[in-house]
Amino acid sequence: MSRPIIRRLKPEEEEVLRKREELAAIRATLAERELELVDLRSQLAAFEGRYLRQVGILYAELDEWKARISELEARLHPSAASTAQAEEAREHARQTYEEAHGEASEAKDFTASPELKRMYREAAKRIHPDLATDPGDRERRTRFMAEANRAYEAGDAESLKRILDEYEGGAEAVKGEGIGAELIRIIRQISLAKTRLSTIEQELAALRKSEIALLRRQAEEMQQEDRDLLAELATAVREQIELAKKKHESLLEQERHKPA
Amino acid sequence: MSDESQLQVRPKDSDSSLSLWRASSGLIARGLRDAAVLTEPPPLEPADPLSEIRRLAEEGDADAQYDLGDEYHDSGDLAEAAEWLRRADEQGHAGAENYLGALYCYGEGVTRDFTEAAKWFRKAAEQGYDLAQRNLGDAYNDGEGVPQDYAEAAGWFRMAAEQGDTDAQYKLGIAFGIGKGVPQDYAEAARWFRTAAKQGNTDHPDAAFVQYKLGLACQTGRGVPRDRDEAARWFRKAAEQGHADAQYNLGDACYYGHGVPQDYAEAVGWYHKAAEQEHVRGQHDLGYVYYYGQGVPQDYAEAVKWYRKAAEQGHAPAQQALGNAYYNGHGVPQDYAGAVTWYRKVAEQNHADAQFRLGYAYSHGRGVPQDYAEAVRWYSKAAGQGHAAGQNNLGTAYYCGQGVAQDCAEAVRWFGRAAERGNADAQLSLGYANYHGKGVPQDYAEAVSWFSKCASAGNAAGQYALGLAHYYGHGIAPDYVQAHMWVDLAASGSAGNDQKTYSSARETVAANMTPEQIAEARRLAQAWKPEPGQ
Repeated sequence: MSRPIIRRLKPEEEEVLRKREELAAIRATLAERELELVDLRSQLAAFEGRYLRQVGILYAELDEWKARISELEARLHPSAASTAQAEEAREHARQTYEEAHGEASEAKDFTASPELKRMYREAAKRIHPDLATDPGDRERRTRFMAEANRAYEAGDAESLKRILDEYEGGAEAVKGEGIGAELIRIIRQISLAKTRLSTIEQELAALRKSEIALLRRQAEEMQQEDRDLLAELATAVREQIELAKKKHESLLEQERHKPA
Repeated sequence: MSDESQLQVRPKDSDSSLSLWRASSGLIARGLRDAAVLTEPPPLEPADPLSEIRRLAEEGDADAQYDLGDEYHDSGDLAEAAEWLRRADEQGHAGAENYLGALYCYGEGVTRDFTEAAKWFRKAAEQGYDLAQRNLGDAYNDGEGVPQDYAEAAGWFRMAAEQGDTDAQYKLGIAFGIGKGVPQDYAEAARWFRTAAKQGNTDHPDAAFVQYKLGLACQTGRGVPRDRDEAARWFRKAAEQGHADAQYNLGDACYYGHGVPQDYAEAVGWYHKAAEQEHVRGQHDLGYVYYYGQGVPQDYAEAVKWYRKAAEQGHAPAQQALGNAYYNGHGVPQDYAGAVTWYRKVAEQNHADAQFRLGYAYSHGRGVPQDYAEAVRWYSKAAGQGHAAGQNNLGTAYYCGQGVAQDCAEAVRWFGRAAERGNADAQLSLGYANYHGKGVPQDYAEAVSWFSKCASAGNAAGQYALGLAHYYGHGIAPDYVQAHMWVDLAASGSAGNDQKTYSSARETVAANMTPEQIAEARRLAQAWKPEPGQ
């Protein structure tokens, strides 16, 4: 019966172990925050998409009517000022249309499965470009992280797994020579992870203060009272559209009766 | 409409882990603004500020009852207002009594009734309430609800005024200014106006007339010490309230620098204000300053515009000035007939100069067919009023028998009157009448004395006549040097045929003289100056 031989570790070996544990813990936190960030972004993008589809396009319609009104007024009462105003209104309507019907309006609602979240955390821990130690490494990590983000937001667990495998497959298993080099490498990685963590915190804070986040919070607060912010906004804008249409109609009438 | 693109944060590209944010044209911000309206809490019921007053009022506090009545009045509940004011009155609240008087005065919540109003005003006034005293004064002044009685009105105004009511101070001042209910007294009027002004009430819509009168009084020293500075101050107060006479007088004060610094530009400003109110002298004087370019750039057209306005109101100096403008073609196309039309209007108002000018127009056929008899008629009118040129021209008409039977004696009488007034033409004519013994006994010495007066004034014809008298020794010792000097002066002061005549006479005189004499004569001529005041 053999007894396990317990080798007593040298002090620098103990230090390496401690630092490895520290790095693992900080990477776990980092991955969690990374996930939180990508989730928040996705949710905000999805909310913006809904907002643009439900309300934004109505604003675009309203601005279209306003532009037509301005143009009619400029025809009825021609002046440099009224012409400039009509041009401005037309330009504004164009901008509103583009924004309301742009790429952002296509963002879909998003719910990630626990498995997907787990894999993303894993990817964030391993691939994140901010953890790179040299420019070549960084460039490679950036490419893989972008693909991972895309896969996550598409809810595509399989792709995410494939990306992770590919990254691992190509990873240089660079190990330092000797215990000293190992210690230095780990300490550097801890430092990189901490920097990245603080960047993420800033990004999260900025996102939470963004207008779209404020709007979403209001929607959530109204939901507590069983109210639907986007629906109510849409109703309000539709009322404005009706008013604008009436004004447009009366201006058309004026134009018809305007003496030649 | 400009949703200025505030930076709003959203990842530009969610694939990237880099913090890139895009700017939005504002759709999100717009939604946020409209959402704020949706989520606005309903306005809170405003706390009732009246509750405390109401409580006090119901407890019987007279001031609170008054305040509550006032609040009801402002909110339009007049019946309730009257009710609370009456409850305050039951406690003898003078303010409430005055308020009730005002309600009757305006017929608010009660039937309009001046008698009732005066009754309430009196109730408060007798308690010493200044506003009610003034209101009662107004009632007596206008005879509303009480028989009209200016003395009574002034008495109540005085009580309110002495309590510091500035409106009553003005009203009392006005009463003194025009002697309404009190003996007329400018000093007293000025004192009350000053009292009100010292309390910060610097004008009163009805005071302008009296302030203007005060200005006049100070200007002339009537009833108050004569003081041009003070006069200008009162004129200014009235002028600033739009009193046209005061504006004109202030303009004059500025024009002449009486009581204010001399300032043509400011004068023009006030003349203008008065003129725009159809003040006829203001219009004439405004025309005048434009005609001569005083305080404004010289502008005949503008001058004519204002002269015409005053002329059309029958202002004789403006009519005459407008006639002159037509005569000289200043600001209007030259037009003798137009000039005569205006001269005639003035002449018919018995203005001597216009009569003279009209006579001249007839005499020379300018703007009217030539008519010596008509000329004599108008010259006579002007001459009768002491118009020197008219007297001279009338004399000439008698002398030549133009438009009247020739009568040299009558001519000499008119020449004499004009000559005494310094009219050079008349002096010359009188000299010749004496020289030739026409209308008077021939008298060279008398002739020379008139030639001499005429010559000294710089009249070339007179200088020539005096020169010849010296040359011939007529009425004076012969003296070639003097003769040369005077004829030389006549030649150098004239033109055309006259100059030729005088020059050839000078050569005739010179032919009798030595070069030294001629040099002396020339030196004398150069040193000669016309006598001033002629």
